[in-house]
Amino acid sequence: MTRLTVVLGSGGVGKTTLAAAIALAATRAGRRTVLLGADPARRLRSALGLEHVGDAGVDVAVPGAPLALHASLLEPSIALRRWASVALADDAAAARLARNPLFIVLADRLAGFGDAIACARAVELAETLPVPDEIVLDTAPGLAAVELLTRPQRLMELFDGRVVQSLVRLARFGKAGRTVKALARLSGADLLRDLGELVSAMEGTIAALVRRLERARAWLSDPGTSLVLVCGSTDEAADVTLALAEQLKALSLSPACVALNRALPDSLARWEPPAGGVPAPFVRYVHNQLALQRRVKERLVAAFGGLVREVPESGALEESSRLEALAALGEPLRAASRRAS
Amino acid sequence: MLPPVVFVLGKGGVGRSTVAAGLGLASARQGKRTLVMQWALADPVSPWFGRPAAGYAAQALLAGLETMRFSAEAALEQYFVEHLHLRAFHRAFIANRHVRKVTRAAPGLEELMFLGTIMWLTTLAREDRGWVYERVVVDAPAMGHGASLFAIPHATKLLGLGGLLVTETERVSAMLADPKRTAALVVTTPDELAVEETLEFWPRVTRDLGRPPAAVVMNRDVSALGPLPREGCAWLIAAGEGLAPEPRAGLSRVYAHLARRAERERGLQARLSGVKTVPVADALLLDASPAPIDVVGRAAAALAPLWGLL
Repeated sequence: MTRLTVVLGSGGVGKTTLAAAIALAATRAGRRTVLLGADPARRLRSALGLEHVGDAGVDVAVPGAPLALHASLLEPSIALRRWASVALADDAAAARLARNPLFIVLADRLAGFGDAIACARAVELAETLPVPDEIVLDTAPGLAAVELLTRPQRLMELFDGRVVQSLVRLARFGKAGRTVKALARLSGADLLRDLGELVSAMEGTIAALVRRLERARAWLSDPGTSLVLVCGSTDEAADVTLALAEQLKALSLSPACVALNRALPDSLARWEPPAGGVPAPFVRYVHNQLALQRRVKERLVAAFGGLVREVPESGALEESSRLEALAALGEPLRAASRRAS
Repeated sequence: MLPPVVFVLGKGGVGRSTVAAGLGLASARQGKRTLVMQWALADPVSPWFGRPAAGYAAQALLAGLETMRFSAEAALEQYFVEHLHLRAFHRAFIANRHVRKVTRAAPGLEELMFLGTIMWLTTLAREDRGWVYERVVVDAPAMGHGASLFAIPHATKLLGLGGLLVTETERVSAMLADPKRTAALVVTTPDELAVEETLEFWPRVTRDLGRPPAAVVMNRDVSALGPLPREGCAWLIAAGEGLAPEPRAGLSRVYAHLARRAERERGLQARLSGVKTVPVADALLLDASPAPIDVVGRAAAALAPLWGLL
């Protein structure tokens, strides 16, 4: 079975960079690896030094690795359209769906449900030949990533057309009940017609999506799956990390590794600037940053103990040796998360 | 000078709520009845003022400053009960479980209710309850969703909706289209992703709103450190003298980090030339761990000129 590594964390802490690092380390270990980026920030492109990564993905040659790393970016509307066209009878039906104004707005709005779509996409990738050995999933930043797995009702409501369908049927056959009248008063009858078309067009897609989501939920609890939390030295990032861990706990899941990224060396705490010359705000910045890092580390250690790992990723790797440098950062993280699982 | 309704937009984590609270505080200090309207799962603002988290009902933070958290369901109820005076209709039909599911699932309806509520609170509420807010600072959802708000009236027209929503949409469109009533502010930090997102969404907001945002708020600004050339400088070399290699490398990394931020600030200013930028200094440059209310106070002092002089 394909091993799954899910990388979670607050925005701006270097989550995507570390997900890329873990995937590169897996590729260098000779594993057939897919890196799926679901972070709408698209940082994956610059992390890997690539111009074009999209839904179809690209193969990245990794120095010293027998196989290429397959990197793919989640594009919810494209994925959704592809799933819809598989379910639909013909191209004309697919084209009609793509033109449906509600589908357009819906696809736009799917950005908010990106992580559920990402899980379904990861399952799709694991079902695609040749079956990958490992998939590394870089989730969208923040709490939504897990929230959708804990409370998928909202997504299901969006897709579960039964309620809407029964309303449409009522409206179509002229037996407009009180509910329909209330809705028509609020929105006009056209909304119902458009919803009806959308729902009929998407019935098959919904079934496939729901099945994949269910598989993804089981996959997340599989012992071969590891969850990596990425944190930075800000109170906010620590809050998000602890809240993510709480959400995971509610699903009986726990992180395999907690990375405190961009950590400064503790030895800097003893630094005393020479008299004059160094701007006072810089001196304050260094000491405040270190104090903040200590505070964040204490909170993380109190919650996760030995799972906390300081990572010195600087956010400014040299272009020429970027992939090797990233893989070197990823190796200890990958080893730590594998040991735990 | 900012109009009565200000949408504070920005990527998650750039300090949007801090800026919205600071702007609200600055406004209240000028004696204007001000509401900070949040659309988020939690209310971070009230605890900064020593108050419990607010819900849909507005809560006072200070004299003249209130906050509330938007909820589409509560807004719908208020709309029917307080504005249309249709309490029974609301209870019987709108609060109906099935109808609620549809209104939640139908794209754009919640957003339209959000905009409609802001409009109601600043204008129509005068007839319904005798007073209105003089200023509403909107702590909008994170950039992608926040920026999409201005496209909602267009999208609703595209859907060919009818009924009450048409009147509602037309009123909301008029509010957004009028620069004397509405403006957008974009909050950013000198972080790579925040700057990228600002540049990505700027044209979209400009198109949907029909004019560019009124200003950029550069939160966590580092310009107090001077130009910080990328290749380093004399004081950095002096700062590292006598240090072991590890802490010296740490010092260089802090410098490089700050130099990149200063460079990004200059880059953004160059790309958005002619746009007013309001810097709010990075708290780490000032003191160890300021209380959140002090951070809001500093933001208020920096942002007050945007409201103009009375």
